[in-house]
Amino acid sequence: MLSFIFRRMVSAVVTILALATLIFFAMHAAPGDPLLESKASSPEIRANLLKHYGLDKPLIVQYGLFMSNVFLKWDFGISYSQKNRRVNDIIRDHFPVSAILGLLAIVMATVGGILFGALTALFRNRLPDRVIMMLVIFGISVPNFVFAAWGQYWFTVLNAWAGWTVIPVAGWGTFHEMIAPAVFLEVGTLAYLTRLMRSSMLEVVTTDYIRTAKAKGLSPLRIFFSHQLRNAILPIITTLGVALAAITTGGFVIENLFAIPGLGRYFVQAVQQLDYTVIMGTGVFYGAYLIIMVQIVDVIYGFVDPRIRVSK
Amino acid sequence: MSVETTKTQFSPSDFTAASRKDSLQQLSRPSLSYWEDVWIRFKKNRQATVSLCVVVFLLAFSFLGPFIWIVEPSQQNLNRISEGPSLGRMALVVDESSDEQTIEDPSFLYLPEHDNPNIGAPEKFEIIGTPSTLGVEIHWTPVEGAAGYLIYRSEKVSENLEAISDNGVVIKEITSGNEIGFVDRFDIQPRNYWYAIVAKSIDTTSTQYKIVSAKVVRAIGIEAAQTESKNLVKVGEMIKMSVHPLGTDYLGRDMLARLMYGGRISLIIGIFVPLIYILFGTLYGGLSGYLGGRVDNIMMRICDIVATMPYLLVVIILYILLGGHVGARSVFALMVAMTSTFWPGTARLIRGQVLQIREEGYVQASKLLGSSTIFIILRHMIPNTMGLILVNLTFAVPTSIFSEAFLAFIGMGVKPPFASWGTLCEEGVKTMSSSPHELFWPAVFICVTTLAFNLLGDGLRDATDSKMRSRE
Amino acid sequence: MNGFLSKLTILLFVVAAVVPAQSATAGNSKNTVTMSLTGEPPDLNSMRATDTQSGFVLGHIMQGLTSRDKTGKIVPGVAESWKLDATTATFKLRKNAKWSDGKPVTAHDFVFAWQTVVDPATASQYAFILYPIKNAEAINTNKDGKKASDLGVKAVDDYTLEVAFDKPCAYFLSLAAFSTYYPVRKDFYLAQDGGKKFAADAKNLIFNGPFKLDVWEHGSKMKMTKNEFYWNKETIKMDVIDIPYFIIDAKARYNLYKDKKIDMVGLDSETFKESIKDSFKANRFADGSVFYLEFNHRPERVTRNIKLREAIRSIYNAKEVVDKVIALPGNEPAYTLFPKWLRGVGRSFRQEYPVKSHKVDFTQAKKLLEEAKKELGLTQLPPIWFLVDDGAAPKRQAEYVQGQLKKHLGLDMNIDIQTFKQRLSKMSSGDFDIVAAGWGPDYDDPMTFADLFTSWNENNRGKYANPEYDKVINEAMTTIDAKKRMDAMGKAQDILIRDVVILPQYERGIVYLQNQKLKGVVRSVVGADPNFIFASVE
Repeated sequence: MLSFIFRRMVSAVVTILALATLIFFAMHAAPGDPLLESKASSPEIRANLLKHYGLDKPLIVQYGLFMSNVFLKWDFGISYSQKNRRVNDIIRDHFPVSAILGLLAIVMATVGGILFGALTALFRNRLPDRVIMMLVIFGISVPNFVFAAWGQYWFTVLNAWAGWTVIPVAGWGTFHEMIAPAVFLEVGTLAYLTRLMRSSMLEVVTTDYIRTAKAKGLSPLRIFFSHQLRNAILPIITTLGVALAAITTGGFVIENLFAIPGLGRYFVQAVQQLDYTVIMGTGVFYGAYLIIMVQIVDVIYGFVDPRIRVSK
Repeated sequence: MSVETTKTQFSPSDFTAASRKDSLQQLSRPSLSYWEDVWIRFKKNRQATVSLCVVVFLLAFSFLGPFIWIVEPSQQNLNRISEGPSLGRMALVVDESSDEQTIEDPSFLYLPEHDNPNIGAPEKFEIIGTPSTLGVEIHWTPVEGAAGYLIYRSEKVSENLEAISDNGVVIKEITSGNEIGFVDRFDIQPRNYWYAIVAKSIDTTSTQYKIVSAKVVRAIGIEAAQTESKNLVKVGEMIKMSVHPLGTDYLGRDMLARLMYGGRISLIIGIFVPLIYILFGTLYGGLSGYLGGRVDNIMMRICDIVATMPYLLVVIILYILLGGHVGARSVFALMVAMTSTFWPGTARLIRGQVLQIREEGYVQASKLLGSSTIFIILRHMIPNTMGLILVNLTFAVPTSIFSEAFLAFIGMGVKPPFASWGTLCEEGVKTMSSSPHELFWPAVFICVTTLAFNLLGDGLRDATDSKMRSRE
Repeated sequence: MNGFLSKLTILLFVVAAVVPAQSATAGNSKNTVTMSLTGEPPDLNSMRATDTQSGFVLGHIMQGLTSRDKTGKIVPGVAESWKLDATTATFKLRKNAKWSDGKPVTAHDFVFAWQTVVDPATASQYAFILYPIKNAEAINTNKDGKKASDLGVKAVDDYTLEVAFDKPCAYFLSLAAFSTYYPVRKDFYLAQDGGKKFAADAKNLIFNGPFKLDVWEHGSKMKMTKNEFYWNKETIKMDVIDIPYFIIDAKARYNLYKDKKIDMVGLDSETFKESIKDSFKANRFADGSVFYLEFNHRPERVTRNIKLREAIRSIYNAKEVVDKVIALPGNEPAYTLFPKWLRGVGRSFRQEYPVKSHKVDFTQAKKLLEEAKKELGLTQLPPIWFLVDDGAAPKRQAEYVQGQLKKHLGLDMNIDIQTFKQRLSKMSSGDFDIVAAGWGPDYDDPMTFADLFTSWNENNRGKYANPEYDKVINEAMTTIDAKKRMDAMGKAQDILIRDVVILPQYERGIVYLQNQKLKGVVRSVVGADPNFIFASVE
């Protein structure tokens, strides 16, 4: 077991280093100049700025400095566009927002997926099953940002009609304001997980051990909860890693639409403004976060399903 | 031959020689190859066949459609901006007036000498000619001491200035005293408008005003009308304007044509990207699984590293790096970016499958008989994973299309003059409340495509899945 | 399963409780205005700030030697009187101007600030705006061994400031109101970690303006409250300027306005249509900036040929673009670089030096194109590279031009969409034929636009170089005689039009909604915009 975990961690570290290197060189190879402002400056001022940001050193030296700062000192430097903010502070201030949003979305998606999937299996081919599957089809085929934009519009109509803010469509701070963005963020994943749960449940139903349980005379409810559910959840756990990635990336658009001060929004903005340090900082951070989370999910799955441990 | 139930003793005369049959047993059903079997089972699945038809329709729509609906998707027509879907509208032919915006009367002063604190309203304030979507021409008589005028416009019934200014906006601020007319062309729709005019002196704004209303008709300039009609048109006639069944966009371009050409890009990206990365993933995974040992380990390690890289980050970075900001290169950049992040999934899958098949009897036998590695891979491995590959491919298409739409939404889509359903969605979201049709159609196409390919994939998987087969 | 569910519910409640419950209601005190900025001010260091968000905040928390009244006219600020001539300016500071920690604002604060601005080590991008001052340019560009202390500004005593000029500067009073000229107190500056932490947070700043910055939470909100130490505080009726949002999305801000969470919002074409539907009263004001298509005049580009530029001008319909492509009322089609609001000698610059609007003429355009091809020695022109920002409106304009060039001149055009920084970079390296650009005024004098196309100006990224133009601008720069200056700039305007140096598109106007209870809000072309110094809530 331990060697399994160890191998996973090594893999994670190597990937993170590779990602950091990729991001660094990609940023510096990308066209554009982060120091340009709309009001141009003389070559002397430019030279001053280059020195100020350490951009006049050879690329390899900059790379070395970057890697050592990031991985030895955990220091991502200072933002180019917000000249008084350290990237670490930006991450510290805004990552929790994205994390909470993502967590809420994942919880909703997982709980909902398990719930709805189980319901469809329980009421197979009857009304609840059909209704849920219809909704699932919508959830899978409509891109979640289109859904969100459209939903946002209808919520403003609702709010205007009701005269008070039933569902806030912008801002962040209270639980009230978190509902709408989280819902839209997890819609696609919810649909996917419901489907997965359903097929998983149906698969489990025909297995020998369920037949044995039925033959033994266990009540259907007991079979459902103790056997079906537990085994059917396994595939859900595997896809949690993927779901996590989907929700984190989907977060960018949702954060923009709902004006949520999350890290995803900062990353996209930084890319547009060529804010090197923020791009590299958030890129490495996000990447590391995702990589580590995926590995954790793999380990959890390894705990839950002994087959995996043995085969790898 | 009668049957004697109680006979227990048999003699040779009770038996006759059986006739020689070439086949020992009659098969209960005709012999089917793997693929014929798949096709039969697939056809039985109604959902799957319907989605296959839909897919074929979409492909035909995008690639053959332009030969039937011959309209240039990049043809701009600024007089037909954001029109809703319709099957033909009538328009009045008008003389394409000069595109002057304001009309001057040089006999009046540009700027008065002094401020007139009691400045009044123009005596006359009227609409000249027929107010049309090509322009509403308004004239007024100049006021003594005026240094300029404010012209308000409202779309709601307004009897006084307060109503107009509360419900409308200053559509034009005239800043000289000698202008006596104005042609309003700002976003004119065929509806009623109310205009108000307020005179301004150097420091004072008049408290008096005049109001006039205009009922705007849809119009078309005589030159444009002539190009659209085969007969000779005259000013004052009502003619049918060219049809845009799905409406027009923010530059007056035909939505149907844009959807067709956009579909080409979306489907090309949506189909080619999976083709490429699945091909690459299959070869990579197949080779790795077959060769095994150290090579397999290293190859899978690389695969893992690429797999765990956050897809969006890599795509954004690659997109910027490859100069995705210019029209032609953007399609290429997008395709490269997407293929480089998706292949590890397929590689892993195929490798797993290959590892399984490698141990099968017929592969061992083939090796014993002396087949080369390549022969085995081509003759045994690949055909047996075909089902899996095909299913993967069909599921990969909607993911690709989805991803392309998503990237377009955050500004990393294909650039003009190319358009894809994703970029059309992105533009449509911006005008969602005023012209919903610009978002609706591309969104519908994306959803239908995604759905169709998903269901198709489901059907294929059911049809090719050996576990399901044995359950018949 | 049951245990799982209950644990889940607890988790959800924990999450809800942990996240602080804040609701952004519009103000506690009556005289509060709540608004959203389109982005967080990147730098509140007045010596380095370059953008409008910072300008807005700084304009409320700081004050320079001069200030502006509600019509935009220059009035005394920290200085109560002054004398200005061709070579020097003397300012007498008022004795009751104080910093927010009670200490007086002195002439030394201005000397320190201005010296720090031009010091190359500060790397201030706006240092150029101090160049009229003697030695400023030399210090900033490390020429002649001049140091910051050589700057032509002196504190004769605590309340008298003397400025020496390199060249006569007729608009110096206007410059003195600009944020880069604000005072900075040396002892406070050095106390902020030797200046490194100056303006990093609200606590690293002191204020001499009508308001002080109370709250600054990076990435989420800001709040300004009335400054009790401001010398003119009786005239300030507003108590709080609350900025609980930094949102760039126009739709999101519009929704906030509709929800009554903010008191003002700027509109784009889509939200404008919605505001009409929602019966909101829209206001408009011309923000003073001009947008134009800049041609690349470098020798290797086809756009260096004047006939080609004239041809393109002949098919470009500025009115159509404003009315239909940009579709926002408030924008006015432009035919010259100098916007309407500029003052001339006695009346507006436009009235004294009028311009004729250009007529679209397709046949003439085709003729000009043929002449251009002959002069360039080409039978077929290569595709024109049109550089533009990524954003809905610029993209639409680019598509419009692309369509027009193809339809009327048969020319191909490639749209090169870049992010803002990348666009600037390509402009500087000359990697374009036409670029969609704009310019906002720094001070209210035509020179802020006129010197854009001199051969020595770094901002002249199209590299138009005409000695005749340079001469005319020099004339305007070396005199303070109003008539001579304006005549020279009138001539400059003629040259710009004759040579089709740029293709003016429109003068930008902003359409915005404002809470009816908010009175006295001033919209400014230069300086803090919107300006709440004269505002109150009824």
